[in-house]
Amino acid sequence: MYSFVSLWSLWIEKLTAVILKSFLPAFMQEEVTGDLWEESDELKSQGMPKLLRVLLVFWRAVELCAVLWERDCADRIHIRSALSRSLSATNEVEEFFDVLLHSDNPWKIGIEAFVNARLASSNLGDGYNFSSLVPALIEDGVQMIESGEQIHNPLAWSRKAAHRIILEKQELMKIEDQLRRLLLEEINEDLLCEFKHSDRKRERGATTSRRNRLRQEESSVALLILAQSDYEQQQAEEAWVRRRRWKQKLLFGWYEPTGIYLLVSFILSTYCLQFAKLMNSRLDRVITRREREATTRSSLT
Amino acid sequence: MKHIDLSLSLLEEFLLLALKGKERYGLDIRNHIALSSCGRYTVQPGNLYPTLERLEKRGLIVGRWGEDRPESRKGARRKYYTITADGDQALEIVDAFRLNLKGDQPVLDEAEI
Repeated sequence: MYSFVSLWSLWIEKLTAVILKSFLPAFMQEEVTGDLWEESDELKSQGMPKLLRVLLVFWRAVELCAVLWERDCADRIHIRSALSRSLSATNEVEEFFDVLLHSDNPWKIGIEAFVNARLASSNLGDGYNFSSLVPALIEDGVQMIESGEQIHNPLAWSRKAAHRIILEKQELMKIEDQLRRLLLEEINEDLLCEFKHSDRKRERGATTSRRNRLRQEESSVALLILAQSDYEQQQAEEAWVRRRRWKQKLLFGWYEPTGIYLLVSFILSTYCLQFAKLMNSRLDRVITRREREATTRSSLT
Repeated sequence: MKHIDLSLSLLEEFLLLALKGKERYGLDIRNHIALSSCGRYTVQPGNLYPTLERLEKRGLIVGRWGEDRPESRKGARRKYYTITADGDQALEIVDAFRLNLKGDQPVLDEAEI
């Protein structure tokens, strides 16, 4: 009889542990499990038989899981109804995304996985993620409503819109790549003629205006390197762009309204890199010359 | 300014009162409420833990993990809860509301509700 009760107690204890582990949220498991067993331990000191104690813990675990499950279902029903409502006003688009992104609901996980998979397959996974596309999605929804349309199934629409935005970004990236290659060739050529053979010799041979322009270029790049705040960086960028050739100015003008500064920063980084290399080599030459001078002076003395 | 919902259900009020002035963990709170009400009011775990979680999310209480792992708890740590300033404020509002209800004329400032 005793072993029969022990066996049952053991089974119920194991079952309780499985229920708690399977149905309780992870952050609650340790606290609840500990409290339930501590309560059982207190009842033991009051003389309650083991089987009853184990049954009580089992009952409490089942009750708790049922309450949490019910709450979870109610939450899901609420979220589902909020997400399936048609959107007919611009503020409803933001509200929709507020609900969608509010917590780890299955719809958010679903759309996030879809968007991330699409981004990865479009080779955009490094630069973008679902959160970075949300502003574009909201803007798209607002524009759609402002044009007099209604969004009847917001969840399906958000997937479709995300897919379209990703395709647009992919197209844009292709254009940028082509432009970047063209610009790289142009910049290299530009830099080569301006700096590769420049030095005191070139400056000596150049006219005063040319020399001044070169110095201006150098100082603007130095400003860019030294610029600390975003505002300073912007000012320096503008100053640099003002002195660029008409073709680069045109490209800058074309890209500026779209808010894409990638190209501009790319030009600048290439320019700065080339300039930094040049400055390093100049510095090396100066140091070597000074060392040589110092050695000659010491040998003479 | 951060908006804090200070309305309380009866159980939430009991939990905040149990935590007022002393840091307690889940089972301790249940025992304290049962003892204080002479066994008339018992909080079931099914209500206790979700309510504690809700209060913590609302910022009315704050939890911290204990360091000891007693044998009686099968090595699980205790989670101790403390009432926050917002929790105290919520209790004060409820107290004021009760006092006003008892009086002839409700005098509670609307802004406080």
